[in-house]
Amino acid sequence: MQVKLLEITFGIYLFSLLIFRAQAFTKNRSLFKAASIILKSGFILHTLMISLRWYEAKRPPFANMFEALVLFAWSIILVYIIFDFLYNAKFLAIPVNILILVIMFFVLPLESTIKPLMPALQSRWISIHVVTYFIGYGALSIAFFTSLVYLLLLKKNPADSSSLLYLDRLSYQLIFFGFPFLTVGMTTGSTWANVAWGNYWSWDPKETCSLITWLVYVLYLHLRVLRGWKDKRAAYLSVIGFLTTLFTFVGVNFILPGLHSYS
Amino acid sequence: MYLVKLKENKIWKFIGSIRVALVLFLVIILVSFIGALVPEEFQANIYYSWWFFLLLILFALNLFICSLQRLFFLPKKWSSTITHLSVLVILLGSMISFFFGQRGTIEFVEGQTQDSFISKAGLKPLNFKVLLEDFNLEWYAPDNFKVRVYVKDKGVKRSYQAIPGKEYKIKGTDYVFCVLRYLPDFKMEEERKIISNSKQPNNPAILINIKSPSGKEERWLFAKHPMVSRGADENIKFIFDGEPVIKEFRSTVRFSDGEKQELKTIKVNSPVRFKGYTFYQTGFDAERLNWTALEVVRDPGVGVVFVGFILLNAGIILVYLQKVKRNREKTQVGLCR
Repeated sequence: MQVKLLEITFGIYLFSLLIFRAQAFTKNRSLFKAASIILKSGFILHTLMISLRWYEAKRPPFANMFEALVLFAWSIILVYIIFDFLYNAKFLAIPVNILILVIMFFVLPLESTIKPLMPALQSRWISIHVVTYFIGYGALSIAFFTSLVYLLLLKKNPADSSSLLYLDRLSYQLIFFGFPFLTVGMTTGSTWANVAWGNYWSWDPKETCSLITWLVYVLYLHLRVLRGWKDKRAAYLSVIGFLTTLFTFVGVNFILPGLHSYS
Repeated sequence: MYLVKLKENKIWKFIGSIRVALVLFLVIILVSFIGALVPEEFQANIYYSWWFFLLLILFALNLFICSLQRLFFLPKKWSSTITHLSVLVILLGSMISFFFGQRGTIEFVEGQTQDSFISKAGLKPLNFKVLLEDFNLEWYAPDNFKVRVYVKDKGVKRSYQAIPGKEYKIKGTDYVFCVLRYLPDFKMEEERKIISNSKQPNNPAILINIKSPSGKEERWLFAKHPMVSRGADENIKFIFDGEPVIKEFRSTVRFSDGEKQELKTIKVNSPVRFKGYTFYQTGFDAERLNWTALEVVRDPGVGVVFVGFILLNAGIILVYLQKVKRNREKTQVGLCR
């Protein structure tokens, strides 16, 4: 049932992208509004799908690659909706829509049967740890994108300073928004590790990599605020930060088997 | 007066400077990264070495001076100061853990009593006794089992999460099947009597009932022997994916110290405390089900670290909210100013 719902959600996201594209050609403002509403209704359905899976599985649905990626796509749209509301970040609509479609495209063929949780994952910490991390990841992914656009624009049209300034500030706001979520995710993970194994920090590769990711963004925020890194250096650091995030999320799982390997 | 002196002291200023902080950040990132790449047995040579310790001390010193400066010269940015101090609290807690914490394992079989645990430094006595009364291992079964079906003449391939007792109509065919029985450890005794040899999934098997217009039959399916599962109707084939998953394992232990006795159940994710020691359920052996391993920890640093965590989260969230508020006051559109 919930997998069907996910397929429908995918269809709706595809539809909203089509309308967004149509709007780009016709420059019709009401079309953009319509596409936005479609995207948001897709998000509501997406939320419903996660809730339904939660209900069906009788546990938080954040335990394997299928569930992780469904949540990842969800987090990206959530961050987009928040930022569109706060900062009117309309130009992100199409890239975000494409990004989630790509993620969903990889998700749909994955093994989607509900598998029971192994003992170590049966904990009330799982929801806050995973959800905060993914909202953080969502913000940092979009920041990665805006930083890349910044770097591309800088190469192609360095005279467009107002766009560059906007992109740079938007990347900063996204990282600044994502960082508290990363922090809550990391500290709840550590607290949980202490409940499960009696050790809040054991330097396993996943822990170490999450700390490195966190430190890279600490570095970004400090360099920006205290050293005035508000140009391409900040954009490069945002790119590096996202690559470490990606490595922490996916890369480590290939090196070490264990709790965090979403197989 | 003293503060002004502190502000002017070049060495202090240097140690507490952002430049040193940034260099230390980079070094810690690099060292951590190298540590993540080396094999596990060498990691202790990095993360618990004297020079990494020195690096963290330097970092703590830098942070401490920086926080002092903020506290006195930037009192308005108190949320950011809380954040910086919280990292110091976490570092302090981890130092306490490192120097005063004890950890090790207890291994025993049912009925056995232990009064010590094995730590890296050797056997450490406990001032009480622990008796393992019972160890219990449970599996998820059979609700997570999958049955794959292949119907030859229709070329239909399907897969079902088959709940026992429920009938499944195989779409595109006239077949209906239902799981009747599940045995974790199938055994056929004399006179073809079928029993489960144990509760452990050593030979998981299900009995299914297949109905079609041409007749009815029952068939045993074995997770470990898919080729055995053949029936009268050659047109339909079933495969039982019965990969067992552990649901829970728990130890029931009796603590006693002469005066009082306590009976407790230790499960994964729900440790038990007795006289300052915390016991965590960690190990089991599928070949030897009366045996278990517990992690024993006495760590006075944990509380300090957790206070640090709370301060860190609160601090960072406050910094964010204050910044957002300030931006909103300054301009209508936060971004494009």
